[in-house]
Amino acid sequence: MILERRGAGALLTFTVLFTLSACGLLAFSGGAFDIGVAAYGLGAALLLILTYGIFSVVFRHIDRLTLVLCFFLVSIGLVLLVRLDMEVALKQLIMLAIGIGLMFATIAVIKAVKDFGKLNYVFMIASFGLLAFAYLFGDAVGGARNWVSIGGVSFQPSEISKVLFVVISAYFFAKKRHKFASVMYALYVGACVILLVLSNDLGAVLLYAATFLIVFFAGTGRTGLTLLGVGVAGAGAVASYYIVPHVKTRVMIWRDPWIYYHNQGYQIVQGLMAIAAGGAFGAGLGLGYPEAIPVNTSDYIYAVICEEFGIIFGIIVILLYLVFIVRGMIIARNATSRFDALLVFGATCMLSLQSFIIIAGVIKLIPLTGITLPFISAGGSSLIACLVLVGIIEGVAVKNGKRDEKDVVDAGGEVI
Amino acid sequence: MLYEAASLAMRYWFVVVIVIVFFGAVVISVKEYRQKHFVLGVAQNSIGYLSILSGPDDVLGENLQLMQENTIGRSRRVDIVLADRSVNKAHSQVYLDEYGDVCINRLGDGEVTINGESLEDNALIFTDDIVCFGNVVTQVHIKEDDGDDT
Repeated sequence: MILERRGAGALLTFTVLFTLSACGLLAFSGGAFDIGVAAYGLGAALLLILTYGIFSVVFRHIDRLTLVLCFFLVSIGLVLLVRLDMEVALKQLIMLAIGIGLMFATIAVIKAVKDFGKLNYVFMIASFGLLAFAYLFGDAVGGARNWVSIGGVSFQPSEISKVLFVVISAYFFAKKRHKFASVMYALYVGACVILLVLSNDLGAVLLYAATFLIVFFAGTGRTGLTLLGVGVAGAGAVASYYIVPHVKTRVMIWRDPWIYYHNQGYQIVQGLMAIAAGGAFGAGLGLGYPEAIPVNTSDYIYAVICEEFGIIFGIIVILLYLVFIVRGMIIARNATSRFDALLVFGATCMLSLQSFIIIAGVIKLIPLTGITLPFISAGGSSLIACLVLVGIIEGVAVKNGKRDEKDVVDAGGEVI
Repeated sequence: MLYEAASLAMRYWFVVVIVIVFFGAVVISVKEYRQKHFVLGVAQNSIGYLSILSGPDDVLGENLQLMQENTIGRSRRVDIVLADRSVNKAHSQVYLDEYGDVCINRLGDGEVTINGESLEDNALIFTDDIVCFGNVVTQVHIKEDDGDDT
């Protein structure tokens, strides 16, 4: 009786081949061979291989396929950033290395702890404090006041806060708490959403509110209250349309971006035209005109993917996110405790909602809200936060794997 | 011009790679899920296993899972097959009794010894006991009760 976990290594090989071939191609884009671009591809590939190797040895029960899927999405981002802006790409690679380090630490912590206990109240204060700090002292970028600059280093506090939000929510829904804890949690969620609304960070508002409702339903199973929550959130969204001018503008642009083409609708229209221009197989890496799309390295990177790699590639990117989500849900279902299950469920929901919000915004399915595409978009805080969320998922996977191995070994089998 | 041609050609390669990664991930996930479901199902219902120390080549060195009730013999119809001439078609039975202990009994005239002593009727077996079914020598491993409701 052998429990095999094979195949992820082969997919990593294709991830590495993708990175090397794309960077190899881009190295010739300027006419002469650019050794810097080739070295970048080699460095990125080595980083991914090394990480996979170290993680597989140190955390024997890690969910390798989830890690490789995350790496493939990361490598799509790196390749496109090399294509768009080498400086941003270099920064992203450094952030990837830092993110991998933090992912390692997260797995080790999640593997070792039960549910963080009273520390969750500290997380609550820290999470709220970060959002409050961004609101009070942050810089407005793209209409949202969500950037903070300390000592020349800029970051988005809401990205760190969202990781804490997942941990706190899992803790409070894992057990039946007394009134004080419930009131504290409700106040915390309400305050976070209000602060994000005031900061004009609409993408984050949607992300926090939707994650809260989904985790609430998963944690309590109370359909009535969840529907009430959906109703309140819907009413809030309608009210914000009339009260907040920023929201109204976004909805108007979404309904008909073509009449606002020369001002607010420019980004959406350019994105749609880029997607259409790519066709089924894309314009070819380095042959499109992504420069015409504003914020092409971050929020609008999905349009660049479709333009240069084609719509088939773009659709499969969405499907890869779906596989990632399904694997996250399976890990949550197999979790050894309720806290772990909700933790993974929350982290997976957060990542999947984030992907949905931005991809749906770019293809004009819903009004556009500024948010990054997990693992792919440029942005240190976002990439690090996403990798830490993967660390949470992997930490629980390690716990599950240890339990499964014990069961199998006790029955005379082995795990390879 | 050369770059343009290379880039246009490589569009298909990139699509092939992502299709392989996607289908590979789906196939591996499904296979892994099914195998895990089966193996853990067996593992969780298992009460222990018999390590084959000496006997037929096809099972030598293997661990044969013991479930709540197991018939051991040479026939293909029994739960644990020991394809050896010294073993009867239905040789012995190993089962979990009502007190949670693992018992062994003989079926017919098959020779069974526990730690070198012949089994007359039935007896309890424990981890590290050496049980022989004819010429087949096995070592018993009983799963420790860790408080789970399995």
